Amino acid sequence: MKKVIKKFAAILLAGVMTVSMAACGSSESNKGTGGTGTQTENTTGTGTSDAAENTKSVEGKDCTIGVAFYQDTGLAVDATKAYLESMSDTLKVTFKYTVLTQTDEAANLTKIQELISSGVDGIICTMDLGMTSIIQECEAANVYIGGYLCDYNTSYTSAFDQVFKSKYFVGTASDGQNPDDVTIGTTMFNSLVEYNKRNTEAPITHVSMAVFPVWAFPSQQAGADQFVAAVEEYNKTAETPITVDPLDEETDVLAFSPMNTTYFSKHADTQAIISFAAGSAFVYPTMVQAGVDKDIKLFTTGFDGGEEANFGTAGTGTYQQNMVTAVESINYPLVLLLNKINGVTFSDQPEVAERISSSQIVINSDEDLAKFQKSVYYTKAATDAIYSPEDVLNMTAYANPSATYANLRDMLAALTIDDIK
Amino acid sequence: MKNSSNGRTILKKIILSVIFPLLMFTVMLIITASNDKSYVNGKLIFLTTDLIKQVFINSCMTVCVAMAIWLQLKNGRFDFSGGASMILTAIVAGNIGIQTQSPWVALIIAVVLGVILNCFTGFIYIVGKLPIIICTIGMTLLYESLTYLVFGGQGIRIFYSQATTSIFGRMPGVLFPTALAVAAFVIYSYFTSAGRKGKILSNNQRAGVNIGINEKKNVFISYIFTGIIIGLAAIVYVSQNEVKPQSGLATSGILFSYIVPVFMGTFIGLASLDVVGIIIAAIGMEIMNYGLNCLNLGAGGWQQIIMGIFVLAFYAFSAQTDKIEIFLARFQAKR
Repeated sequence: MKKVIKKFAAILLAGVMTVSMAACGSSESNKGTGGTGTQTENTTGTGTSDAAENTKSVEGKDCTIGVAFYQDTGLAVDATKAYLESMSDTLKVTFKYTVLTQTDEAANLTKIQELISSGVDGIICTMDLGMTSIIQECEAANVYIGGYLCDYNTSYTSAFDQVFKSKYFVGTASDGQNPDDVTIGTTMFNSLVEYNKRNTEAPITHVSMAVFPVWAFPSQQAGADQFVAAVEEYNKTAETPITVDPLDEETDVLAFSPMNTTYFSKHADTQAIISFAAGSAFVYPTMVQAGVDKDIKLFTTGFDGGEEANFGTAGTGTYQQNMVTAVESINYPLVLLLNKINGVTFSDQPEVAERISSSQIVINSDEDLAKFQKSVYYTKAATDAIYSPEDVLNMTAYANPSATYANLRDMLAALTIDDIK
Repeated sequence: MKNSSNGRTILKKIILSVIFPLLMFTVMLIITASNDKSYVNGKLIFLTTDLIKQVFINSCMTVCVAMAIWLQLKNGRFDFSGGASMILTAIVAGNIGIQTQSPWVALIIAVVLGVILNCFTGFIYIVGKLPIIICTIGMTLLYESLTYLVFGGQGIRIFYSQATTSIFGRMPGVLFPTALAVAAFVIYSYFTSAGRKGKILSNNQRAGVNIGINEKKNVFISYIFTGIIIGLAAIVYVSQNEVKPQSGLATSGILFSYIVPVFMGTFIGLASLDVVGIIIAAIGMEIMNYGLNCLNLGAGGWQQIIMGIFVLAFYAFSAQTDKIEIFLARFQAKR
């Protein structure tokens, strides 16, 4: 009896092994040939020869793309998911989601491995932590990867060859400007001046700032310097000069924890906080707790939901400016991934992957807020998106052979408050 | 003669109770006064009205959670699910509070839901006959998973930012739920037979059961009172913070961040009552936190190191209480 069971088990195991090997082989061959059979796998990274072959549009193949977010809920994340899902049928993409950590490289690698093992063809990643290992993993699995809401500055400065030069990395759309392309300081200054023009009877004449650590967000430090320079220039001719408290390394740099309540004692005369750091999450709660939210204005980045109750002339009027990156900026890595998966490329595709600054939605007034509240970021309704699924499909090189990389870059520059439908 | 002795005893208890925050205030005053970082325009920022405001606001939250932890702990149970039930309660109460625009409705919902969740925990503990750690970790995971299901998994963020809804997170409104929480603790501990029976059970469960104490009923009653306190803690928490859905026992971390005053309070409370000790310890610790904030050490590694060393030293000192008492007795005898 024992022998019979052993034999049966051996046959069963052998059968399972054979079937699984056959399945693996089938999967490999599928990846190698591509779905449509009309295009070739881009192995050079330049893609010029492939581009030359793309003379007519073809239907994209069914694929799966994993999106690794920085948090599992929130307005931006939910809106992005809603936007992606709305494009699923048109682009023939199934989206899978995961959440990365901000502190653990190994955990992030595991999350990416999980996505790969679940069968994704491409990954959109929102965090630059453990990227060297992640890229190696993607190369081994023949999975492409792109970035979203992240400038990949650590990789850009310390692992450029391993990450940006990898043919599996398609590039990234930054959350606002890249560190070498900063305009946020000027934007903040313009918002302040605009506020003062609207409030000539009680203009803001004394401000302080808040930033995240420079090692994590170098563009914020650069933005703060830019803001100070803009104010100094303004003060040369201004009737009512503006005082900016110098950036205090210990008080004004938020180590990813809420602002200290003693901030307001240390900046006793401040009338507004210019927070380059995410003020809704890290500054505003402390303002409320300290009871200064009626007296001090906040100009900041990010919009988590709920700000509208105290924005502009509403409620306490604490928020006077919010700045966000449109969820449609995800189209940049998405289109590049789809091109790769379908074995095509733009005729003007650069040889090395790029990080591209995104234009931002700057909300300065009640009117701006009303407009923003009609955007997909706020409504989570894909019909409110600046770019429809058909528009995005049209950006790809396989559906539209005349589509160019330059057009894709231009798309990132056209995601402002004025572009909202 | 007897009145004079009583008066002296009371005075001694008061002095022993308030000595910790007074010492802490003095030490932090000296440290901040001797550090340039604590001065703005020549003014010492440690000595501002903000100190009192912040210490009271933060202490209220600490006291509420510490009471909930200690109520179960003094009954011999370490309840990990307190944080999860607080967060779940805060999300539900906060969202209903926003919908109705009423902090009072939110307060009532918080207390009711806090009681329901804690009674359910107690019920599972009794019926399941599980070890308390297993039971409460299981309940923590269950309640945490529910935070992703209720109200679309969005948590609650705008409750604290609206002046009309967040009154229980600001002065003087924050004192109301805190006073209720202290009252609930005092009523349970000193004015109910369940509280006294609980003390017997925690000292010797078998003996307690043998003399006729209904252990199950006692557990259930303790969870009703814990639920009330957790509900009150939840309303203070949601009035001061954005509350996000939690997972992976993260709520235990929130709970344990308030545990230091529990252990310190039980020592300080030796001079009077545990409830007084916890309140005094919370105030003392918040004075320390405020002082560290003035020195720009309110967050990050150094704050953790300083806090850790202080707490360790305090526990080490309190562990030597018996020896200190013997030493003092010998010293007095020699005199």
